[in-house]
Amino acid sequence: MSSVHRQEVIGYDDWAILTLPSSATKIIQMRRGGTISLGKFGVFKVDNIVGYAYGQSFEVLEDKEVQPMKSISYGMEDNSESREATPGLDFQSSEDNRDLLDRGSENQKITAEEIEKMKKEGSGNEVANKIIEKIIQGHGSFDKKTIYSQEKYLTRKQKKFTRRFTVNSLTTSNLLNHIRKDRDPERILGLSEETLGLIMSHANVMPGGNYLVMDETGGLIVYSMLERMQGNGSITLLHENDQPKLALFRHTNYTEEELSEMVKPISLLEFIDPKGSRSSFVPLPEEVVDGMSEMRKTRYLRRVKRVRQVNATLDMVEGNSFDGLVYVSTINPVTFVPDIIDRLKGSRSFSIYSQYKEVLLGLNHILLRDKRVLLPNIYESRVRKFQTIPGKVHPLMTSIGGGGYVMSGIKVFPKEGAVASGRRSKKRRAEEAEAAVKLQKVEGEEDGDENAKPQGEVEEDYTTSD
Amino acid sequence: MSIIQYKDIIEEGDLVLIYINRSQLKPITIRKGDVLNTRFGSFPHDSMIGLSYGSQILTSKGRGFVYLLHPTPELWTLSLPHRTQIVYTPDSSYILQKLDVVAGSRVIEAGTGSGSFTHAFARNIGETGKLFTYEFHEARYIQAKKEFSEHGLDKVLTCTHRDVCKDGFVVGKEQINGDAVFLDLPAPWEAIPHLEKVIAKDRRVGICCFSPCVEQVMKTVEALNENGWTKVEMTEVSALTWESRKEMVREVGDAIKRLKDVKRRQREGIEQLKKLKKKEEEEREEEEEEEEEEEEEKKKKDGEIEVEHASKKRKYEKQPKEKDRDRGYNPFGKGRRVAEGEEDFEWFDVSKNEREIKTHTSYLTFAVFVPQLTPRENGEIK
Repeated sequence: MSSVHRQEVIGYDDWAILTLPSSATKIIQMRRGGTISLGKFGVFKVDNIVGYAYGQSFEVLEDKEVQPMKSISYGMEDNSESREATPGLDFQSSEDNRDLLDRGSENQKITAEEIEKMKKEGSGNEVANKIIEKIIQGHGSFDKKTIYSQEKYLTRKQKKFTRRFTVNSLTTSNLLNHIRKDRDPERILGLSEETLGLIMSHANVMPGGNYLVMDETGGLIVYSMLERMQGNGSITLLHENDQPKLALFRHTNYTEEELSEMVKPISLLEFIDPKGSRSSFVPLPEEVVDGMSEMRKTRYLRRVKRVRQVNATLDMVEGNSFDGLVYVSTINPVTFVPDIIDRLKGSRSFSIYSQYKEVLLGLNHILLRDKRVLLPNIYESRVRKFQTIPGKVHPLMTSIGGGGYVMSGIKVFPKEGAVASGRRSKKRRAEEAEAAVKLQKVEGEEDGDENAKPQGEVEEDYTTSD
Repeated sequence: MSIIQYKDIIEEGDLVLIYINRSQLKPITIRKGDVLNTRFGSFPHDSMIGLSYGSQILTSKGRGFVYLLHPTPELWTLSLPHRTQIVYTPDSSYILQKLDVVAGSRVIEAGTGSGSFTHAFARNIGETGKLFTYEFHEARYIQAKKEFSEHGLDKVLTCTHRDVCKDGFVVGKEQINGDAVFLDLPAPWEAIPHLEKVIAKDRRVGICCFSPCVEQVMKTVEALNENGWTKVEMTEVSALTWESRKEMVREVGDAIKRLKDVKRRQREGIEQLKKLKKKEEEEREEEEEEEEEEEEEKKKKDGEIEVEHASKKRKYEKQPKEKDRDRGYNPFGKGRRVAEGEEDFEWFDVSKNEREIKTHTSYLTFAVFVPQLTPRENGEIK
């Protein structure tokens, strides 16, 4: 199978993501014999990290050498065995912080210039340890802090100075979080990891499927789907320019060939008018082709291939034969999604993403009345991280906002003249809604049933036909 | 058929999810001669064979209808017979994403429970992957195994009746080599030490433990740290489903118009009342005398509430029959009822949550296991 991309061991020419102690990330490529600079965190040779498993952490030593570490925070975490990473720490601490005065920089006797000077004394992590030791020694009221506060202070300094890094593989989540946290989240329309997961699950993305995709994230959606499908299935990529915009793929392990094998681009114009977009190209007789010069022949054959590809894609469109739709675009879905629905096979799902719920609301109102669509629902998912220090468990104080919304639905074939027998008197509906609520409560207590939603009035009006 | 491979036409033996309404999805297996009975009518299975998935079918009388849906892990989650608390899509989709479960992944799941998440794992890994799922409750194991077979998942998974906390994960001679682990157990910390034997040794392995209580999480974190797992991270997913609604744009000017209208009517009413007054007074004089006597007695008995009630009743009776009058739309109750989103009115597109929302499912504790490879000997790559 082609384009199988499971990065297991760090190899030459791989694209990967480095994570620093500050949790900043950086995309790199492993060039043979090359060096990678981490700025103030040091420099190392690529050759020194090749062959280790992805996920491996290293500490930077002198002379661009590295030392493999069990984890990036080994010996630094509050709940780990020891604080061996910063030796020489033997300070008094206080029961509480009643004597701690906030005197700003007066408390610290070490100056920024001194720290800068120390940084230049070496290129390995030894220096970081020395700096941290000096900073603590220079801290006028370190002993006035509680032990918890001291730990926190230390962790903060370690994150700032420790010369370590982790080499992570280019998974979709790693790539997404890199863009979201260290680049511009707007580049991926504010999409979060949890929302991407929702999009993929609700569109039932799986190996072997043939999906129709709009991707305005520079290729993150396509990347995510390729990763999930591992060379099995196809993506028909709708785009609004001459070429689809897949800038993200420049820094990934997919080659042009692999991409063109799985991803079939089609412009909105071709999609809207598949008949008119068919090429009138007529293949030349074989003897003519045989008589061509090598260069002309190559060019001719490439053209034939391209025409065949386009026509095959148009066949897919005209045949209404897609297994799902993933729509991540700022083109108002109200103006386009109703036209796409017919291109899906029966009982196939779709996911429409927008950074803004309001955009999806407009579409939801329309699809609630569209008999070709079942269960048009808008979903929101937000993940909250926690600190897990024993005795001090709480959610993190801040996180990145936004994340977007997903609307999903299922395409069906409505029958002419279907009349709902579900229309009942208002009184009866009210009674039923009440009964449903009661039922839901009982069932909910038993097993947390999600299914027994009360049947609201509006819902009834929308789902029944005519 | 297989739940993890789309097909187009319904055949005998297929699993079809019958969409009855928003809250009712019924799984059936198509058998010639069988009949599906719903409260909207009967549907012979024979009438479904040969139709496309997604078709709508009507009862013979044409009174009711259902849709024939292709099962997906997400729809199955909504329709499956519950035997345990299940992992819903907001959690499962995030876990799949974060553990990077893709085609070809090798997954370890314990316990199987109702088999809901098992379907989503199987969908993601496809036929090139492999899933090992364990359930210690025998009846649940038997039921789950039966369902997996019916859903065409035998090729991608091995379902084992086992208490992994006691007996570990090793099954037969097969190399498990798991690269993603999901533990939905009461005491995951008891299973974690057994994982070492079955996880991949040549690549990074991800784990997610699913526990509702913080106390469980803390024990899990400790076990993960002790057993060489790193990058421990605890998270919680909160999910909402939004309903789109329309809220009428009401303006203060309309309210003032309405108040003026009321005032005008009152003035008109007073004029009319004056005309009627004489007539009424004559008619009521006798009646009121009687009532007042009654009231006096009641007052002594029950206090003033009753009096108020009686006078209200009288007032109501006095009012002309406004019901029959067509007053057009009136945003304050009486008058024509306007349906949500009706034309000729201005509306906000708004949204609201379901009546009851899930505020907690479980905490997700993630970690990774990175095998410490030694690619170098004497400075040379092996």
